[in-house]
Amino acid sequence: MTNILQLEVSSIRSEAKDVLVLELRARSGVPLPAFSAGSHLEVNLGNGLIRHYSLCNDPAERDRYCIGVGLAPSSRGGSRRIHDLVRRGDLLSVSQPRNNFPLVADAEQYCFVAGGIGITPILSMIRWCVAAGKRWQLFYCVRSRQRAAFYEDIKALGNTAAVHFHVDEERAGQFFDAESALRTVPATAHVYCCGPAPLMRAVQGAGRDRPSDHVHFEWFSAEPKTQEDLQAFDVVVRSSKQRFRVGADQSILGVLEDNGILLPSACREGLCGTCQVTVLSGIPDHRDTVLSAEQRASNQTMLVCVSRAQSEVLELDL
Amino acid sequence: MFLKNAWYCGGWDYEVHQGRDAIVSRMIAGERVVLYRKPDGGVVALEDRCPHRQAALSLGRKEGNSLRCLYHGMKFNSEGVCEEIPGQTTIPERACVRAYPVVEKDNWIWVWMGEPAKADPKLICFSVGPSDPNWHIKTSQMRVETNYRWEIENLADLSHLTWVHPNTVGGDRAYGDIKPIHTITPRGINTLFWVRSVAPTGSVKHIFPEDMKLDICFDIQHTVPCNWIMRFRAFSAGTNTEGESNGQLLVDTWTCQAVTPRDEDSVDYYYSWGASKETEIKGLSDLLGGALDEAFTEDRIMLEAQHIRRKEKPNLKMINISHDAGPGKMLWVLDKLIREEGQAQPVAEPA
Repeated sequence: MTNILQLEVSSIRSEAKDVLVLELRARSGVPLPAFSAGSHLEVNLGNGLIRHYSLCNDPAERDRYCIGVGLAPSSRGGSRRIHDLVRRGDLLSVSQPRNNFPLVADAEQYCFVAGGIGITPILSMIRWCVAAGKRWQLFYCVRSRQRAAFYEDIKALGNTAAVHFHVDEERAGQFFDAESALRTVPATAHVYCCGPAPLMRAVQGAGRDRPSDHVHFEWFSAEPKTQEDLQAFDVVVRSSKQRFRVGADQSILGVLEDNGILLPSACREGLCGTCQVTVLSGIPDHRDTVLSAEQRASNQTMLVCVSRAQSEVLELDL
Repeated sequence: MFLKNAWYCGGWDYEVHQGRDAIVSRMIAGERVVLYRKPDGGVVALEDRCPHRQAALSLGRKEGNSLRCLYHGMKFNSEGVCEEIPGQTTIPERACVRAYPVVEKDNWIWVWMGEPAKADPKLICFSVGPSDPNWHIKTSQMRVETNYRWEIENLADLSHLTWVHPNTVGGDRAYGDIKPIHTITPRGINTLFWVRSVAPTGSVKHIFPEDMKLDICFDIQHTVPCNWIMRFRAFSAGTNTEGESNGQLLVDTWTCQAVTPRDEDSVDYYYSWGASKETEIKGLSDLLGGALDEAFTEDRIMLEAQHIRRKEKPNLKMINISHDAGPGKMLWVLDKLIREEGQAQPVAEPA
């Protein structure tokens, strides 16, 4: 098919905690098909895995596509695969850019609301606004400043009047107040929102009195998953036959510790492997950076600080 | 933070001899300790601090089984009890210094820094000393200005052999790619791994043919506070990719290492290396011992510069990598024991 491009990963940059930016270029150096702000690429990751990633670079650029890939906490394929396996120099099969989230070109003013990795399409929109001399403002919601991808780029693009950061961690975990924020936005402005479902629902609610063609959402992205997507499951300790429930907001390690079963642990972020245990039955849902692809596929070992279960029950060799 | 109920290595036995000046001052886990030997050969460990005005007892004089402070002449027996205060006839009950349980084993002097009633000699780590007739063990020691926890990280993750020791005891990329198995023990971790078909390291390269390849087994017992005992065996490279090498055993060695924290900023490092009688070539064990002096100087430079930085930014959130499983497990065991010890302590009544 002619609309499939083979592009080389010309650079991979760690942009923020759990966010990579991949720069894609044609090996031949020919100009790439043009794209408009808000466009995405379909990336074919093999094994039938196709994922959509928004372009975040300036739509005026023809020599490269940049996509931001956030590691979804519950990823079982796409973002995990990119974070773990894609390396500089690799060739990726991608579609030509498509746009389900186009920017109205003649609005008086633009209001952007981005949550987490939802910043990627918004960023290309802001670049377009800056180039076109349009008035814009941004509400950017992140869990922690470490996770704020493109923090520096955004600060360089807009003054503090235009850019409002909402950092959950710095507001005692309080979420962005969409109602109050949108109250400050003129009714003539076009609102563009991309982020986790709860944020988009909040913006949808806050924008209910606006003309429906003035409020735009990017819904396709399943990547910015939140804790809501995590499922509870059971762990069974082989030696004692004890069975514990691991709630959606709990870790296996934490639940075992709460029940007096102390396992070695160090980083508690899936980075070091101190808490690696043998899995006797059940299917782990790996979320660490330590295990090899073979180890993951074996279903026989896991890091209990961050990894969870795909099955209802996990039996551990403890 | 130190574990109190533990045996700490106070050094090699030969330093604490019968010489009149062999009164050795140590700092162990934040405490000043003076070591000397009684005429019957037994080693004494007392707090190196006169209860009168905190003079250093290590500046004192051995008198039979006792040690006399050479500031105002108070004399203490091997239990730390004051026997004489020149110029007065009664001795206050509190005029005594702390005596530490002390045991000699495998040519190391071990001092118990916790409750004397819990000083079980069975908790002293296994090691092979220079007086073992079956091994040619060469000993040495070094002072390093670092925190002992960074030494634990260093010893529990030998991937640094590739990067820190290219010219001495490492260098081959294989060390940097190791995936050791670390097994938790009651007081530490055991670590086992092989590197296969690696070039001989810088220190020994000259005694092998140029294209020589080796299979090497690292079999380590690491115990608190930071005692590190390794059976190190090198074989001519075989064809096995798992388990024991099927090459020829060339050298079978023990290296026994005790890192004793002095305080939070320095350690005394006592170490040895040497080959079995069966595999010793004349002079080989001297080479191995010397190689450790060189290698640990390389570590010392790295660890001291690291310690300076970690003190500059003590709260910096550092990144972990997969090689940190060993350090993570060893420090977890240490911290668990320290925590349990704290919980077992009777809570002081408010005054």
